[in-house]
Amino acid sequence: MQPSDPDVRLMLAYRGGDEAALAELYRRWAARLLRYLERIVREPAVAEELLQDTFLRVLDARERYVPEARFSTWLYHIARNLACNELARARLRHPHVSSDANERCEDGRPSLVLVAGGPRPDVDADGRRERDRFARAFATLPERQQSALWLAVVEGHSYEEIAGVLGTSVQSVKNRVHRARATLVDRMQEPAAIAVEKIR
Amino acid sequence: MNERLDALLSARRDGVLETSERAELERLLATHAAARDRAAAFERVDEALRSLAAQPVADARLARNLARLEERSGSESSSGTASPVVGRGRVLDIRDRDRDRYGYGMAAAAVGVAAVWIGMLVLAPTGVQMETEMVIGEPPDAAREAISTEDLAGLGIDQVGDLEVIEELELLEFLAARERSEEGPRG
Repeated sequence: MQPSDPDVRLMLAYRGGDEAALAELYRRWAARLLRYLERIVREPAVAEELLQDTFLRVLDARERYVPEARFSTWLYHIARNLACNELARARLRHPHVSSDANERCEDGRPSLVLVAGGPRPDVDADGRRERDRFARAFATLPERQQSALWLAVVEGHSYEEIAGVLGTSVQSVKNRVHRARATLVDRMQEPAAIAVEKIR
Repeated sequence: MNERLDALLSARRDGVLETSERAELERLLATHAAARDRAAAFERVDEALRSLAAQPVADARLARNLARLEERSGSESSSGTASPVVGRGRVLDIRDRDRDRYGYGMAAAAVGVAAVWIGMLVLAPTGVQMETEMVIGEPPDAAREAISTEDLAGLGIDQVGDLEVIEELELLEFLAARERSEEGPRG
């Protein structure tokens, strides 16, 4: 139990009947979770459905919630499982697409949907191109590498926490994070045309 | 650049370098410009990912999803298991929602079984019944069983819980598709 985690406190308050606590949890986490889900499933509409599904699970767990880890670890665990099921379902629909049995939840779809936001006037074109290129490179990583790196870098989760989310060992997390970073560095150092070719 | 350097650089970024590894990395960085370049590139990757994650999500989009969440959680209910969402008067009763889903699933399975029997009775004397049965009459569960264990392993499905959720999602998709077809095209 980690009472120092403000999100755990909110969830406990919600369990105790404070409805506003749930609204606050949604406000704190919906955007970040949506961004994560978009990166994993690559389709904004599907990501939104999964976001709703994730919070439905949180609501469903209200009565029996027992804080055993950071709230965000639990939340990402739910979201990732739902996203993985969505990817597996997509793969069942497209069985011709090859998959790597060692990479659970790896999405092998050949085409990529760029889900970066629309153009923003405050971001120059070069910056946008680079960001989109990075997004494409990130999208080529196996799901477990994506999730491990996201949780380490964006959420600052420990390897132990990430191992809990991914259902794997700490050493495996360490390897995946390092491979993800190395792959992204290599992809970003390649000329853009070559990188696009590899992605295809 | 070798794998060892990448592993050390990554571990350093996450603050999990051991003492001996730290000394090894510092030695590499001090003696190899390429190692320093690699370290800078690792840092840029982390910054790029944080930037990607920090892209704003429109308030309207979040509000729309919250409203949809409330809709999906069900209309106002007086059941004892209801869980209100954010105090707007709507309530959730996920157990009822799941019961409804499984109810639809059972009905669909019953229709499938009935189709098999009707197909067998009607088409038994003809020479086409085998193909017809395979295409039309096979109930959804049997179709799923046709997927081998190896297939499931290849898909990364290794838990019964996964299959249950997949089944649930398939049903949701079916219901959503039906809802869309009933509502007609949207702009």
